[in-house]
Amino acid sequence: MSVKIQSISLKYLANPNGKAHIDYILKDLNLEIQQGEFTCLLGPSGCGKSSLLGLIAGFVKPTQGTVLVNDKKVTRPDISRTLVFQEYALFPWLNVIENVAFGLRYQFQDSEQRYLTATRYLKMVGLIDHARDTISQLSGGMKQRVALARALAVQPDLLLMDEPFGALDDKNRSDMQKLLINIWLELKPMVIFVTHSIDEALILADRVIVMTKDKQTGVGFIKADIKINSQRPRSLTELGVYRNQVVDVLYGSSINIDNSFDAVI
Amino acid sequence: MLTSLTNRITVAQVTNPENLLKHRYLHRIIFFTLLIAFWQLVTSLGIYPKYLLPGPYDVFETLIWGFSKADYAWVILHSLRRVLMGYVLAVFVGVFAGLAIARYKALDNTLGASLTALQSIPSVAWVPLALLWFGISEAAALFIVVLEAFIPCALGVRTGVLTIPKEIIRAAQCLGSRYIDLYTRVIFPAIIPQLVSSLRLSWAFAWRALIAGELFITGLGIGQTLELGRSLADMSQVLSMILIVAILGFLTDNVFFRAVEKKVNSIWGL
Repeated sequence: MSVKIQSISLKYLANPNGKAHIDYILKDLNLEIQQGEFTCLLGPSGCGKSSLLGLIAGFVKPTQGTVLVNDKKVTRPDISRTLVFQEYALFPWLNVIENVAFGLRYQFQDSEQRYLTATRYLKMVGLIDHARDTISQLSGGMKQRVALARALAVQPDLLLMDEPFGALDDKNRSDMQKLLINIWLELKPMVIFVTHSIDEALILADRVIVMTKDKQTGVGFIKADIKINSQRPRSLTELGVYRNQVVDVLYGSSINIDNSFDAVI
Repeated sequence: MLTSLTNRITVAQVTNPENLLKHRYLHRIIFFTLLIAFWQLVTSLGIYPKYLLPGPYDVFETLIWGFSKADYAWVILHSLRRVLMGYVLAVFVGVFAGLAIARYKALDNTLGASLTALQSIPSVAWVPLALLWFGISEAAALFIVVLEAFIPCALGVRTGVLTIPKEIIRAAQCLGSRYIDLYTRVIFPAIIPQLVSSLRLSWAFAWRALIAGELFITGLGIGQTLELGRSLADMSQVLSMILIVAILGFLTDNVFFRAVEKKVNSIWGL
């Protein structure tokens, strides 16, 4: 299992002052991610990290270059790469367990087997008592746990998470981080996790890829690639060295300070 | 003035729902009693001749007579049958037109834009054309009903599909849903709240178009009985039919569709 991003360029239609023009959001970007790694893409908004995730998922077509997952070219979304979104994206017309079982329809003919699999993943996220609840009854944290169970239930090779905990309050956010790490330690899926919170990246990742965008051209690029060698569960106090390193990368030269960076720092 | 307004608001806030419901019925009973009393008063004063403005009791009598001795029940059933036929056809056409318009930008630019124009044409305007094409027949009435009622459905479905959050579609796609399956398992259920509002609107349109169409065709129908009342100068019958149209409209819209809408919105979390 590996993800190879080979000289990817992505253009998009920008419209800053009412005058539409085409800009590069990513240009000639290369990145390789290996089996079993928990990778965080960290950067300010607009640096192209979510676009990069969309490219890996297959929703976004690159202008140039290729994305290879397992040495196969990504051309469209596939059940081997599931996504968790910030806004949950649950199906409100289905109840909790039906949401989790959504993708299982394409893997198991037998409804009993779908039910058992969905139940297993609901237990894993601690929502088995809410299996028959409707989605609108759930809190934000619970919704995100359903979304996580739904994405994991189809046993993807690659779990893609697009600022999944961004809409949650601090308490829920740290609970979800713990839950995610526990599940990851158990199942060891390959995870690519997009965030703009330095602390979140440090708590979760084996590898933090720091992205930022060029002030002049607006093109997003990888500024640093930091390996975190620290036992889990981690606490922020022991991650001070890494944190300084990230802050240094992002703010080291005073010219490059980006005000759009989230206040979580 | 301002204090009385704030008072009203605070009172409404502390009143429990049961009382609010009681108030609603009380308000309605008082309103309709007053309305009927006023109507009776105007007719008793004898300002207008009885054949132009019959009193509430005359209309009540006509309704009793109509249901017991004449064919009012059949008239209503025939109109309902006709409107249901037109409505089902209109919804069918509307849903598929809406899906197609939402799917293909070229259709949206052409057909989608024309629908808005078409919607501004009152149903009566189609009557001459319908009569020429289909003759003085039920088909003419159905044509008008379908033409009127499919538009809100098509426009509603279009808007519904185009406003589905893109994350919902993406989530379904990465979980393996594609093509027809994506429509049946995700797009269609996702637009149901919007669809129910459209169905409600379509029903109102169908009902209006039907009465307009029935004025000009032969055969049993509310519109025909209304028209007959006019030609016989039987204003009591005309008012009876108008009353029936109003009551049926109220029952379907406020009782049936509202209940469905409420239920759907609670499930969809709207």
